[in-house]
Amino acid sequence: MLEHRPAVTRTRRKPWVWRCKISTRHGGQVYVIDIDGDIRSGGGVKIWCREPALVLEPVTGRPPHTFDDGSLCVNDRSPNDYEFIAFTAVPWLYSWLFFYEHWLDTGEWVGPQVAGHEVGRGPSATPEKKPPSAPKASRPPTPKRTRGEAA
Amino acid sequence: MLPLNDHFDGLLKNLNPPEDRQALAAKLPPIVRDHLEKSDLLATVEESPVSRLAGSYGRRTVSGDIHDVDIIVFVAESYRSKPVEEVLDDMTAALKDLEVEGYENGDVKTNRKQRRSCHVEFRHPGSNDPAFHIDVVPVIRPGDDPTAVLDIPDREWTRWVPTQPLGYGQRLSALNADWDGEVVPVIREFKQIKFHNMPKGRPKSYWSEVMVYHVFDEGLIPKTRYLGGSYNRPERMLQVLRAVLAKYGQNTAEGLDTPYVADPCLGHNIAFAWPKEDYLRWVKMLTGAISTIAAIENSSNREASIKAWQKVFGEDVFEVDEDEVAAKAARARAIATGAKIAGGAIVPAADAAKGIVVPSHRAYGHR
Repeated sequence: MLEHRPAVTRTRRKPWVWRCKISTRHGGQVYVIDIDGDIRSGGGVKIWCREPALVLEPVTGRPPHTFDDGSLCVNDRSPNDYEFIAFTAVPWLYSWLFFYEHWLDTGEWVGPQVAGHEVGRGPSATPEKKPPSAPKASRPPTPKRTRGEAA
Repeated sequence: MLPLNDHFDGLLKNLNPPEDRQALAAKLPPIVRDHLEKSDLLATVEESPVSRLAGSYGRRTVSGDIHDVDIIVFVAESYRSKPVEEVLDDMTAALKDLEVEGYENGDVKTNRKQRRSCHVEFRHPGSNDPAFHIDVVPVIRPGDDPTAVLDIPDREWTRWVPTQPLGYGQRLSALNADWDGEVVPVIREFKQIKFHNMPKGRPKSYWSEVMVYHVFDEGLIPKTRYLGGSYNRPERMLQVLRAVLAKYGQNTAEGLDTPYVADPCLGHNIAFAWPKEDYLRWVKMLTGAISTIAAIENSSNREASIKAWQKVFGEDVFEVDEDEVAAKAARARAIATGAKIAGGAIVPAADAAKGIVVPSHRAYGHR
């Protein structure tokens, strides 16, 4: 996460939580986001927007591409055990915010979406509570994990 | 509140002076300044600078057309011991023979008890309407620092009185930097609200500017949210409107004087001549604008939000710039197909040699 300083700072260890104050462009809206790494329990990464309150989508009555618990869905899978959050979840988050802002301005989500879950299609019959976990891959050769740097 | 970035970008662009006026404002003042500097009819200071741009054009707080450009000229200290009107007479004489290609000789006006400057009008040949105005103001600079307190003729031409126009410009720049560039755009937008909803009557444009300046300077609005997140532009505008009303809109009762709008540097009331009738209209206008915006404060309805802001700013200026929108759409498409995080922002991958690549991903969740 050092790569993203000073925008991202750690606020808690075990489970690991990072606080991000990021904007998608210089001079743009600054979002306060918490990334809950949840390494200890082995669960997926959770991303929460603390400030500002996200705008609700008229069709679903909730912000676009968010879960039931209000956390953001930045990808259709969490980073696996061997991927760095700094190089997966954080860039995905930037991308999510960029397309969220674009959606605010145009009413259209032009970022990549899972088929059948496009914004504006109306509520799905059975919304997922959690993205499917990444398949347990055979141990990749790189990178070496350092505690606190990867989920 | 919906950020309506495209509309607020378009608004600021539409509040820029017309390009031909900007060109004149850039071209003519240096000619006047050079002419005065070389003239033998007016004694100026020896050390540079001899003149400076002042006024809203100099501070980049113009909203709409440039009505005139203010130049202050640092005249010789020797004028202090002479009758004030002598400096205005000398300046008038020096400007009389000003010749600018493409224009008839400027008509130089100095109206006694109305102006403390020389008003230069530029006319195209055969036209009765001036194409451009420049106000040239003589000031005495006690020291070397042009941003310090200067002396300017009073309106009655009887004595020199203190002024600090460049000092204010410097303070405004510092305040604007301290607020990450939020102050100047809000000033321009606030002036537009007055102009659109109350085209005639006071407050003067400068008073409006100073009211907004004080709102920021005195911290009457929060700089950030509780955790450090920022406010978007519509939220900020509404905060400023409410703060201005709270600070300056409470003197409506009969018998109360109009509010004290303090000069940012010297502290005197710049709005001492605010007619009560105009003031009451202004408060009503401000209250109406706040009500209009407050109605969409918690709304996610785009159309209603745009309509409300158009009512406040004017339909003709609160509109998107189609070229900008097309450019943003192209950028969004580029980011959708490959992006990097570079310098704390997301950019198309092709635009950044270095940076963290955004791995491919697809938003999922609950739509």
